[in-house]
Amino acid sequence: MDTHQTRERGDGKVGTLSKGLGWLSVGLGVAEMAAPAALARLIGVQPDRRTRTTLRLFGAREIAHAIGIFAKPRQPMPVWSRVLGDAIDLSFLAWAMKSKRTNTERMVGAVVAVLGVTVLDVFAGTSLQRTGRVQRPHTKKMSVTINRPLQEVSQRWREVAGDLSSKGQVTFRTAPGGRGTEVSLEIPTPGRLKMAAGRLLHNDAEQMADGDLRKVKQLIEVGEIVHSDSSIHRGMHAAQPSARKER
Amino acid sequence: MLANCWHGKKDVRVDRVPDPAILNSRDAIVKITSTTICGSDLHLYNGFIPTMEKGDVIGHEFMGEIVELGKNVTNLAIGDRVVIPFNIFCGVCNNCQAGLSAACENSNPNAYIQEKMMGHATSGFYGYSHMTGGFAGGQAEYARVPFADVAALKVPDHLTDEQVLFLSDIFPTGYFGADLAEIKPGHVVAVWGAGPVGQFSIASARMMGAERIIAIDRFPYRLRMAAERAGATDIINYEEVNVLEALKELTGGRGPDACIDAVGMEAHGHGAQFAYDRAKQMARIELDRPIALREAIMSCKNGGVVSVIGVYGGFIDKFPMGALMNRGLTLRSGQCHVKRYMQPLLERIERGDIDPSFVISHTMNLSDAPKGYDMFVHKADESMKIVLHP
Ligand SMILES: NC(=O)c1ccc[n+]([C@@H]2O[C@H](COP(=O)([O-])OP(=O)(O)OC[C@H]3O[C@@H](n4cnc5c(N)ncnc54)[C@H](O)[C@@H]3O)[C@@H](O)[C@H]2O)c1
Ligand SMILES: [Zn+2]
Ligand SMILES: [Zn+2]
Repeated sequence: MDTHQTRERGDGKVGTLSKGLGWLSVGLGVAEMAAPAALARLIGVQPDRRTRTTLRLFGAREIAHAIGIFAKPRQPMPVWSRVLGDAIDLSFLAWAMKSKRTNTERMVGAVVAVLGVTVLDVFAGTSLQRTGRVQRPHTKKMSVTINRPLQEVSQRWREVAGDLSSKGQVTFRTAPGGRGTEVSLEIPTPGRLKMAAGRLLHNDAEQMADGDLRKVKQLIEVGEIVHSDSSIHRGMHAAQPSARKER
Repeated sequence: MLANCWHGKKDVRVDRVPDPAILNSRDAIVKITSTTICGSDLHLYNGFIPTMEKGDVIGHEFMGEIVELGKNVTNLAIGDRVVIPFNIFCGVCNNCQAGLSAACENSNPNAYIQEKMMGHATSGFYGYSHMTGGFAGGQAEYARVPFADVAALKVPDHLTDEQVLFLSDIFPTGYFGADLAEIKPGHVVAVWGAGPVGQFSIASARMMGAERIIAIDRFPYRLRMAAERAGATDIINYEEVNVLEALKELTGGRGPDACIDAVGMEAHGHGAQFAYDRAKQMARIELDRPIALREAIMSCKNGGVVSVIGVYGGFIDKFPMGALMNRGLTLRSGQCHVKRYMQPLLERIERGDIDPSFVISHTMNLSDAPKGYDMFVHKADESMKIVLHP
């Protein structure tokens, strides 16, 4: 009864950037895990045991970022986790800076490098966030075939569809083989939160529109809405006649 | 009025419920004179059909007298004696016009449930869960009949209730099974299940000119009826022999041209295969036990037709797709489009080609429905078809 409409997956550039950041994570992660002492000297920190352990942990974290990015290169979340990592790196550097045994020149170089990468991370994150929003299906199309010629259907639609037309875009076309008219209704999908709330309150917009479309079909084909012993009640009701005087 | 209501697994009760009223302009209210218990009702009784509610009035095979009519029914009159098909259908949608009344597009107010479960929805059915519409059924004193103008079949007074009641379901269904199987004179047909539905498939295959008709079941009294009353030429008791081997022997090694599954989701069997399916069904990993269906596919002649009229509810495992595909079998199935067959089969009854009442084993009062269910589910007292009178 319904089909999802998915927008063209977009913007290769941001995808490439985030993958590049992923590779950066791999390189940094491997270096931190395999040669923490050398790396410590490079950024001007004393390679004592505590520093080496910290750098190894950072290395593991970088690898985790990389895995996240490669698994979902178009998702902003793994890139945001890198930004968080950048913040940790910077606070580590700030802490190391206080030590007297630090090579200040190298340390400043390291801070500048991390800040540079942070800018890239934030840029990639926001871009992905933006394209990600466009990528989510944002309308839902549902259709029904009404066993009457197009002209009659579009005319009757105006009489019986009520406010259904205001809920979305309605289109009519003749069904293959002239077997009636295909009516489709494309409605905007509510945000995730609203959708979940709707489900909870049993007034899911999609399901309601779907049911309404079915009722329009009944009104045009049969002339009235078809009831069962339970469907005339709101909510669940046993399939037995409703209270009325006994025969 | 009194009505037989579902209250849970193996729990049906005759309760006092409100009388039905006209809800739509093409409705009729029928005062029921005869109704019966179907093998399909046993699937409800055994708790295998989802979306049942406590208090649902069940039963889908009934007939009676019209006592009230909606304002848009002009071809029927109060007092008409009518048989009602178990499918509820509008008569004007695309499927109805193509004769597919079990797939009516307008008669199931809960179509969305089945669309989620099965992709698309069936028509509404009487007394058969909420996914088929939540319509009250016919094991009752009265029933509301939607779209009565197209559904009701008027029956002549000289035929008894017992002769025409089964036009509501099992006679057309059995015939439908044979029709799907494309039976031609000279064919060999095997029918799994010698219950009431199987009996009518056998009788229909005979009417279509099948030369050899083989009934398969485990109850000797049912096999006896198949041979003596319905027209089977051979019988196989699957508890005594290997069915595949026995069918090869009976068909010169070729296998039957047509195989009809009139057993459905609760097939019984032996050994490892039965234990496997039963365990999975209990755990709800597999909804159906397709033992007869697998056997029908394995047994069928190359290029033959397997016709499935036994009811299935969901998913099956270990489906022999390789046998079906490589040997070029055709698989056909469906809930019977009853209305399509009612008039022609009524004519056959009138001509005396067949008297469907041969399947009746017991007649009871509606208030004894729970006893009837208990008896039928256990196949106790050689029960075959139990007719209830309100
Ligand atoms: N397609 C339809 O429209 C339609 C309509 C009515 C009934 N049905 C279905 O037809 C089936 C039969 O109905 P019924 O009223 O005759 O029920 P029933 O319970 O009286 O008959 C079923 C028979 O199958 C036999 N059986 C069980 N396992 C078997 C096996 N492995 N091999 C051979 N036989 C086996 C049983 O012994 C029993 O005699 C049910 O599934 C019912 O739901 C379908
Ligand atoms: Zn039935
Ligand atoms: Zn219809």
